[in-house]
Amino acid sequence: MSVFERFLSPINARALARSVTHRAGAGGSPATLLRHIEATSVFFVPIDKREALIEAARQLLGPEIPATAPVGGLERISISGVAVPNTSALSAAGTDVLGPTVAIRMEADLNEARLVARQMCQQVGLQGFAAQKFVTAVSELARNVAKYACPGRVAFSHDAVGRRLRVVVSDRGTGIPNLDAVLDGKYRSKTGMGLGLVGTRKLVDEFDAQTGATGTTIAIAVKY
Amino acid sequence: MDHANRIPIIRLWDLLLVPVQGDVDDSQAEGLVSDVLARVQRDGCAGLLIDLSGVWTLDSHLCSVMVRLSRAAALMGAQTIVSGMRPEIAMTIQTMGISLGGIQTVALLEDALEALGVRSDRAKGRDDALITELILGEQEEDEA
Ligand SMILES: Nc1ncnc2c1ncn2[C@@H]1O[C@H](COP(=O)(O)OP(=O)(O)OP(=O)(O)O)[C@@H](O)[C@H]1O
Ligand SMILES: [Mg+2]
Repeated sequence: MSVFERFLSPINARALARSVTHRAGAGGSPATLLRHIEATSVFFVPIDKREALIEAARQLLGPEIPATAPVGGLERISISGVAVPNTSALSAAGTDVLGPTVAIRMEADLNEARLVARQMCQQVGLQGFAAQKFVTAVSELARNVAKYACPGRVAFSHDAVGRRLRVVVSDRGTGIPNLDAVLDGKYRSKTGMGLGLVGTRKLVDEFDAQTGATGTTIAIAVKY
Repeated sequence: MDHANRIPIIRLWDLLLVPVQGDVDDSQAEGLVSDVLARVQRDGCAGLLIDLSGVWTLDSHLCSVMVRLSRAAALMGAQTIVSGMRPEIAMTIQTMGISLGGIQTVALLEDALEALGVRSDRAKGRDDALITELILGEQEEDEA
């Protein structure tokens, strides 16, 4: 039984173990591995069990490793080994850990995007209005993909040091030609209320939109 | 649409009560619009009560579906009242600048019923007890 199975359901324990093994394969020191477990556990471990799990892992990897990462001292890591999408100011901390990615192929996939958004909130203890804003923002961006630029994806990531949840929603559609007008609230939508993007910007702490003829990428972040 | 996924529509006198719950997907929302309008027409309902107390999130799309539904129902003679919107949801849609296009919203389902002319005798009894309590102070329960 792995140390993770003491705290997690078999599926989540396996997911976390896989991510750690991947990291170990890439040549991580015990300290790096522990940092990885700390950051990654946010996706898999309920908040009340996380501390105990990290402590157990620390005992295994080396009790001399300090319990929490010094701020800014983290290297850039990711679960899948794919680099975290670089979205200008949004990834300034460079400490993101990739979480789940939800593919948006049709409208029904929005439910999953919202579900994952809700789980992320639970994992970092975001509740009430703050959680509602985050889930609604994800829903708006994912809906735009489903409606105008299918297929696309919603990639969640977590910055444990900067205490932020980030979401990058990207597609390979034809872009938003009048993005400035849309964000200025000057755009009149024929397909909806035209409040999805302006509204989303008001719901989040960080918002960055890149669009062009080959697709659109919108990155948001909320503090917790 | 899958029958199990349909949002229930409950008849109450000449009103329709729609308790919306959980995460509503687009096909459920579309199904709701056509089901409700068909019922309003068939039964000649005077009012539509949409209770949102169990809803997880309300985005701009779902809001526009509700506005569309209420406008169509109004054309058919039924007034729409929305009740039970949780404060964090109300604050979220307000932050986004979404308006519910003039749909009347009230806090509780009871308020919605009252606005449509339904008043409970039991509620009245409770109000009387409250007034008595305010005037006389809290009454001791009679010992058995
Ligand atoms: N990912 C995208 N790819 C291409 N065009 C898009 C994309 N997202 C938005 N758009 C365009 O930008 C416009 C504004 O989007 P926004 O979400 O603000 O409003 P809406 O979708 O029209 O209405 P609402 O979101 O209020 O229902 C849309 O009408 C659409 O033309
Ligand atoms: Mg939209």
